Amino acid sequence: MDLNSLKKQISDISSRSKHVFDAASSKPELDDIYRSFLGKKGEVNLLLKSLGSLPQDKRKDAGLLLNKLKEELESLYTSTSQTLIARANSERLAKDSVDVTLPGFQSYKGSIHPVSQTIKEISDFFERMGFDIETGPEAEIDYYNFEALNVPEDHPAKDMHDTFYLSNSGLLRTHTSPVQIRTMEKSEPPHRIICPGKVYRKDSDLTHTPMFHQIEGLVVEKDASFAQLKGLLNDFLEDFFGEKVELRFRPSYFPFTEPSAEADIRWKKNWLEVLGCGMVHPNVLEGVGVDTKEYSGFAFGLGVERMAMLKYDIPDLRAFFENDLRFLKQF
Amino acid sequence: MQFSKNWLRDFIDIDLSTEDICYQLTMAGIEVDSYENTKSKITGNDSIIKLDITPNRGDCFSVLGVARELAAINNVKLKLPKIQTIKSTFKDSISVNVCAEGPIYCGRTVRNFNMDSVSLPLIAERLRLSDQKLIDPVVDITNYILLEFGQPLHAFDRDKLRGDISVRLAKKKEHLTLLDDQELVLDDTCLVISDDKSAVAFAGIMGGKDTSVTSSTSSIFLESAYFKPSIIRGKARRFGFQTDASLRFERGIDYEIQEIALNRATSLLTETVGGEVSSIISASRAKELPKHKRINVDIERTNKILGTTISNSSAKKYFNSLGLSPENTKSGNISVLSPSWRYDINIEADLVEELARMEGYDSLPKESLSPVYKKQIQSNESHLRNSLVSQGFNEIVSYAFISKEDHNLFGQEQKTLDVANPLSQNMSVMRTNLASGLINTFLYNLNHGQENQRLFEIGNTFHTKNSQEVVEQKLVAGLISGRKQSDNWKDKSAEVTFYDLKGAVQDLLTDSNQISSLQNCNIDFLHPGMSSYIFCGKENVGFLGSIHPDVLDKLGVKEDLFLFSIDIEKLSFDCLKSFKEFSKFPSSSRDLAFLINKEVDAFSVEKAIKGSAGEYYKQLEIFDVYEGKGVDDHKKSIALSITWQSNTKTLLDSDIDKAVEKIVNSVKKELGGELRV
Repeated sequence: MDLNSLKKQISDISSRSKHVFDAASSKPELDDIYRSFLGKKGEVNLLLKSLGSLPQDKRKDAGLLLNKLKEELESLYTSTSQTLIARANSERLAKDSVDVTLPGFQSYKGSIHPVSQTIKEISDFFERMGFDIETGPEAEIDYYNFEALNVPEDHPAKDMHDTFYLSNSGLLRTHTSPVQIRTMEKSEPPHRIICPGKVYRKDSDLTHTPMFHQIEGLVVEKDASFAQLKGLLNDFLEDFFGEKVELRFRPSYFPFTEPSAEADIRWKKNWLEVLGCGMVHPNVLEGVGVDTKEYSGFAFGLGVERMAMLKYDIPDLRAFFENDLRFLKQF
Repeated sequence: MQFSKNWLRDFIDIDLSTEDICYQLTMAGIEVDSYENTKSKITGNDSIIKLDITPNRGDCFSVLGVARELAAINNVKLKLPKIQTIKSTFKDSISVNVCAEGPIYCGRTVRNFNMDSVSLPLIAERLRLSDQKLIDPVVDITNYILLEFGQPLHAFDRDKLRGDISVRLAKKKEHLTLLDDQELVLDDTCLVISDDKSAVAFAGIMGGKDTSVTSSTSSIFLESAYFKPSIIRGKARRFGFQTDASLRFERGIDYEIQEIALNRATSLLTETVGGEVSSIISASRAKELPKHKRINVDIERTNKILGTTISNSSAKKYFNSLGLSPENTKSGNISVLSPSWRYDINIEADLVEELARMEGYDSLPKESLSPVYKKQIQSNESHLRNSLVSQGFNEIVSYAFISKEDHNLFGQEQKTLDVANPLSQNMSVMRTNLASGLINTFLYNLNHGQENQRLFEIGNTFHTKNSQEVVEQKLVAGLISGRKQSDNWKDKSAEVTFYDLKGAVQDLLTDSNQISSLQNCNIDFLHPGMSSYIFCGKENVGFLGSIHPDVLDKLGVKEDLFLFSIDIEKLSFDCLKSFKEFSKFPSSSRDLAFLINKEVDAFSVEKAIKGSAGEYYKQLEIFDVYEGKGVDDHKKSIALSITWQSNTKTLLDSDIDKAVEKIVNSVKKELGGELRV
């Protein structure tokens, strides 16, 4: 082979390749074409192999020409490939468009019952203040529910609690206060505890359900004071409602606290009772062996549903136990 | 307790609006239920005030008591009504006997009066405003004194009393018919008033029918007595009622006003109906009476508890206004004397409350409590709750008492704890598991158009052991029904199956002690072929399954329901202790399919494979289970993908081939399975 014939072949490949590459309709087809020119057995490689048959002095020129052809073909491949990708993508874009206003496919939305949620919100505040969460049985005995709390047999204070009695001669606790006694019996002061849980009273009307939830709190420390009780409850209510609340304390009566108080908050112009509290009665502390010369204590109790009704503007107490999914899923 | 506001003027001179009076009472701990202004022809511009009195303040169950409280708050003097001395014109021969439980008894006879008279207009009007029915002049006056002084009185028809009067404990099974025709069978814990023949009144609670005043009565014996609160407490309630008298006696009445009240009543009575009055016949046991108690109060300590700076002199002023007769003690404290009308003043703490009340609770200082650091631990309960919510479950809270019928369906024959005095038969048994609450909630929501439901509840269940011992367990239980995915416009999702339930439980227990095995169970409300106990380690922690078709029929449910229940206290959730390094070398997988007898369960296949897959075995995944065309009738094909990986080297094909050979042999030997080629 001589140089001229090689040149002719090079120019032939060059002019032919433009048509052939242009005609490729897909990336795989293009890759086949690429290989037919630049693959191991491609036309350019065959020419490279034939260089040896050229005279010594022509080989360098010929090599340069072939390299130029290779570059030319490489760049042609790249540009054609880009064109093809762009075309394919634009076809895909045209084809794939969706109606973005159709509804998305959602999974089921789970929810925590507002009572659990409220207990958690309240517990979180008190846990930050260093309170432990304590629980106790709901099927109680008279001793823990009444006697240890300074409510003797037949005391009129029992009328404040309409009690459900059980077939085993026990009762369903009417408040979570028994947990205070159980906690103080098993561990030494100081105490900071809250006791959330279900309580039961034989009462059912628009504003009462026979089962509801309470959170009871107890602090027994060396200098626990009524001033701290007021301060703590004030801080708690502001934390819970997320804003300043107008709060007032007034005297009340619970057999297990003295002095006893009830706290009202100003709600839509009216005063609304939200919790009961007081300094733990010495009889209660002495009953569980706490030295009242060294320690004093305060306790408070609040109704969880009442708090949730206020916070979430729920008008009907019974909604909590109806468990209508349209209600539950809002929480 | 309800009364006319203007009545207070008999006892105190204060010029306060009804609103102010109610505010003062509220802030002093005498809760005002409501008040209502009214115009009366007799009492003028008046208000009806209704109080809700706490059990410790029996002294406020009278107009006098409320006035006394207002006098203390406003620091004004209390006026006691002038009681005209009654001229007795004869002596009744009747005598009275008292006992320890009823230590004061006084009375007198009034005769020859005119029963046809009507009550004085002021008395009638005040009773009307207090919501008391007018009966006859005698009963009206006893009611009037009860409201005015808080002293219950009782009038007997004198002519029906036989012999003398005794206050005594009832005999066992003693019968007594009350004024309102109730027939009671009493016992020796009840106090009665008796004549020589039989009981004539249930002391402090209600008079007897046989000796009651009627329109033909011409002579009465009027009783004014003091009975101990402890003997009256709970007695009326035991028979299911309460009276104005029992309410006061069981809280404690002033033990020094019996004669005063009797004189006041007689004076009003003669003014109304005329008649002749006997001298007072009385008996008492001084030793049995409550005592005025001397109580010391340490003002410094009080100030520490309240955060106040009350001085000794203002404390004394407060105590004086409350009628507590304060005195200085040698040690610089104050001592007070509990008055005859206050049963709630016994210890220092009671006086701390009195001082706090007089200062005004609202004006007592506030002080923030300092936080104390405590390590917080997430409870199992909140872990489970969050996990279920992330799986799209909605938490419910249902009543812990259920109906007998529901218990029979879902109670698994456990011994129940029953409510002795249920609100209704639907709430008479304490639940032994959470199934009925979930299923009833499902039905409620199904009736409200919700077909796809995922519900859960966390709550206590109850049963009894050895007849008395209560076992209370905290469970988490869930129910699924309907479609796997929420409905959408493109694909109709399949209905949930047993495996969706199992998957939910597996997800729930991922971070816990994990499910080690499921074993067939015999819970009668579950489908026997589609239910099992859940074992974590060797412990049975609960069950899962499809509700039995018979039960679904009974409930009228067409949908399949799947339910799980787990004992929370048997779980332990480990928080991540340390990161586990994973292998940097490539893993190799092989897909194998075995033909195996239908009754061989997946658990056995997995066990055989894991036992023979060699040291580099990593994991196993079942990707197909097939029965039907191309497979023998009694066989199934189970296809698995098994993965091996080493932490120290790249595994060779020959390593894997050896492992596969062992697996195939072991499945064949242990389970009779053939590799499907």
